[in-house]
Amino acid sequence: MLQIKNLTVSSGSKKILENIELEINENEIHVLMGPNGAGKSTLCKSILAHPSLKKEGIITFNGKDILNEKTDKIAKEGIYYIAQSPMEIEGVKNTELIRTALKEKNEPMDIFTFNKEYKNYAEILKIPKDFIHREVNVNMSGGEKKKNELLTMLFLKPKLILLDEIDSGLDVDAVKVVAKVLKEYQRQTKCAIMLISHQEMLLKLLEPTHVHIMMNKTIIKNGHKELINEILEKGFAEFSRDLL
Amino acid sequence: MSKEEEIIISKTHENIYINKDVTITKWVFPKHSFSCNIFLDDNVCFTSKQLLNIAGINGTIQFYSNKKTTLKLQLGIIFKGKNCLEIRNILAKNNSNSVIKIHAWQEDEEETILKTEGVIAENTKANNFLEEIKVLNDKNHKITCIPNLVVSSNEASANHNVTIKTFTEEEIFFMNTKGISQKKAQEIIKEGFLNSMLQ
Repeated sequence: MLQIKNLTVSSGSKKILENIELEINENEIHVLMGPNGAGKSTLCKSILAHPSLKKEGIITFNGKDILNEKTDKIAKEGIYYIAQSPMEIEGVKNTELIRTALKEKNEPMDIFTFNKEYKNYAEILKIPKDFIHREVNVNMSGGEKKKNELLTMLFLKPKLILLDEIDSGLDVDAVKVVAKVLKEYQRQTKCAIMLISHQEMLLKLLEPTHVHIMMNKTIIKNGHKELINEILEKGFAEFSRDLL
Repeated sequence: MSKEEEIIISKTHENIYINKDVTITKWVFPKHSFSCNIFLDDNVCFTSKQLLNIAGINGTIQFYSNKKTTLKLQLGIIFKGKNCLEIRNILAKNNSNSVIKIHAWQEDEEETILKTEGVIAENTKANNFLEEIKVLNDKNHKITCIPNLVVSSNEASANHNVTIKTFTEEEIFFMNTKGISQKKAQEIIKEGFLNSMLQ
């Protein structure tokens, strides 16, 4: 599904990522772990072609070269991204954002169907139904913003979901709800998920199939869920010793 | 209950007298230069909350607030072409409340000058004045804001602020990640910016 080969990402003259190699297939859950500043968020943003980042290398999605594609085109191909701190967009209601996004995908939805589906998704995610009329992420708690972003995702039906610390701001119950929604969505669609997280509970619930450790601007180790326990027990210093 | 009215400015010098609560549903401006004085009688509440399209105007709207008047002017304004608009509010008596909030956008590469002024007269008491101007700017579009406060009373509360913002890279990127193109993203953000004034 997603193939990244020899990817180097720079911001201005500064190299932030080097020699990134990654392959994500459908129905997989990948978790990206690493110390702060390792470049995990940058990797997600670079896949979505953030304008501040310059890339060299290969990124393909479902066989299509997306290295030099624009963000909105990449999103329409089926990659959805939830940032660590989702933007607030004053004056723009959730309903308007989602319906516009659907229209841009040539999948317009009439207001009645939209309202019905919104209520359904809001109930699943346990967010107030009046969010439909609220401005996008404005005056919402961190956790509410994340759930709001997930609700949008359910409408857009992506094939690959990139989650940057989705657990931050979520209470214990909300973590369970989010994990359940993601697992169910994956079961229905066979989508792939890549998340950045170090939260034990969320990782236990999601049961990642692949684990990657990022340090020193690159992925230094790949493994499976046993690697998570090793990291949580020993920390990242253990792995940085291997680099020396 | 407030009466719904339209403000139609047709003469070069226009005087309008408001002696009961009123909600303005429409503004009409002339093509020529104008100066319009709106006199608010004691205890009157004047409300105007709408989106305006203004093209090629050059004029002044001056409110004169009497005792215990309430002025609520909340406008989203789309300017086209060259414009010069001045809005003044003179609080000449006591116990008046005045709120002027404007969100403005220049549609093209011409320039608009937007002047706003609050004047609280000497020997007056317990007047409150708030002026908030927000401008959304795009590359070569220009709105020059000139806010002003003249407070001659020792017993008044007066605040004004002007914010100039543009389309930020992160806002556009956020919209793009939802599959929304740059052009559409700017359109939605602009509409949201103007309409947020009306909420």
